Amino acid sequence: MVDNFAIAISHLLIAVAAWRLVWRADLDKEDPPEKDKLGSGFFQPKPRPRQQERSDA
Amino acid sequence: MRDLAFVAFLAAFLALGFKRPFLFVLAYAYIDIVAPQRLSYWMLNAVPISLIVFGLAFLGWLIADDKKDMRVSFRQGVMLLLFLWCAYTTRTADFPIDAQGKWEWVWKALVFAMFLPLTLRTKLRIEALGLMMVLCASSIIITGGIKTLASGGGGYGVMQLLISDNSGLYEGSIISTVAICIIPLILWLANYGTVFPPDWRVKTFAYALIFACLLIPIGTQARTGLVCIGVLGVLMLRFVRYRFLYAGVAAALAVAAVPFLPQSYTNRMATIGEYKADQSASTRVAVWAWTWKYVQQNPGGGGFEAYLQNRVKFDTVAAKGDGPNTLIEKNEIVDKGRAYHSSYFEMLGEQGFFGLLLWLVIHFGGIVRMEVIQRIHRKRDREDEKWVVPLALALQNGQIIFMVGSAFVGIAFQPFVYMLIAMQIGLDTYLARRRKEAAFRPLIDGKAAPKLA
Repeated sequence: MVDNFAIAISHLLIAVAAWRLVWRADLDKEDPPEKDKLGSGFFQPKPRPRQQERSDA
Repeated sequence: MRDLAFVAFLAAFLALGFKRPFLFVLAYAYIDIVAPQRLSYWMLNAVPISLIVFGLAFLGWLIADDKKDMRVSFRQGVMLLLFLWCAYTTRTADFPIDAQGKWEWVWKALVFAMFLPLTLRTKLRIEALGLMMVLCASSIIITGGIKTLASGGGGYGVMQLLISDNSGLYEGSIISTVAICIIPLILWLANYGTVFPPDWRVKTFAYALIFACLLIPIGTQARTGLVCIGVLGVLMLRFVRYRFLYAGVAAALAVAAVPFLPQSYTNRMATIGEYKADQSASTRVAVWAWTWKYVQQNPGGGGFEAYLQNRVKFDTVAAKGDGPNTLIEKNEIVDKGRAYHSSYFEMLGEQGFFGLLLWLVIHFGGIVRMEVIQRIHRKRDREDEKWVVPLALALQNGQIIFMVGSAFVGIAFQPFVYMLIAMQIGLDTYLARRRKEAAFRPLIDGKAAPKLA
């Protein structure tokens, strides 16, 4: 009884997961990531040193 | 009836694989963990189902998968070396027939672990593998949890987890270790999952499953599990905001839980401290000493199942009575063919110093690589990579728990753990590729390029 319950619930969830995976486009192919704000290596724009904000108060 | 359900389930699973070949990979993981062929008496146990599905998974990858920019990691290379080394020691084993028996399943675990990372090309695939591992293990863990609650466990080796077979993932100490080491992964899935996006149902199931995981060491009365829970508790300290509060609550809960534990459990756990009087623990120490002596003469190890030749003699010492009337009772016990009860000594005795070294590189490498990943990505702090650090830490914690637990159980080649390692490697190579893609900029980008026309 307990065994069948455990088997049923786990298999039901596996089945739902498999079914959802089949319809997900990103399973096989993903969009390329957004480019980093800062490049790496030579010839890349260097980050500007942060200018401290001055307040007159 | 159950058999028919298993056959129908597997057929449907494989049918989906023809639409999306990656599902064959998941189907193989399912067969490897749940072993439906051992749960059924008809049809499934007659055909080499795991071999067929592995063939499908491999063909699916070969034909349909994009292999552009495929990466192979250092640890896959080490696994290949371990594979070749084990093949060699099996040929020269002290017990060639027994060694062959273990080799039959070890090579599959190693080959699958080498192959799996090649297929983990997208974030969703990594998540899907983790989800599949957790759900498959849950079929055993839920049974164990409910039975423990209902009866207080059945004593070591007595509680039946779906089948009355004390082997594979169904063995008490092994499932206790595995159940605890997937808890961080369950938590990650409950917070960052996209197949089952986090909502109250997912969280409820996840917490109930974690509760069942914690019950497994109690139900199976495997002392290793208690040690693993302790390690998990310490590891969680790293992530909680109010550490003292957490430690206090955890200690209070542990104390409060003691009265609810079955007497047989507290009795068995009390033997952790008095290993001298406990035969099971004394045997371990004696076998480890034997292994150490054995490899001095055979530095290349004795091949799989080399422990069969051991013959250990040891005394158990127990103190009876108290005060001046204490009686020290010494019993000499002779034992032979005792298993290692430790993955480290299993590797040392069977595969020698070289095999142990490779094994340590593979496993400790996981802890190191996950640390490196979490540090890199914590620094990057990108919105679309918020899931990375928690996953790396979950996999690292699982690995640490396994490394501690495996000191007391001989599970050096447990396929489930190799899947965990494959997942780490997959995550590592996937992120390396994504980082490279995100960082790539043409030398002169479109906007800055001088217009010629």
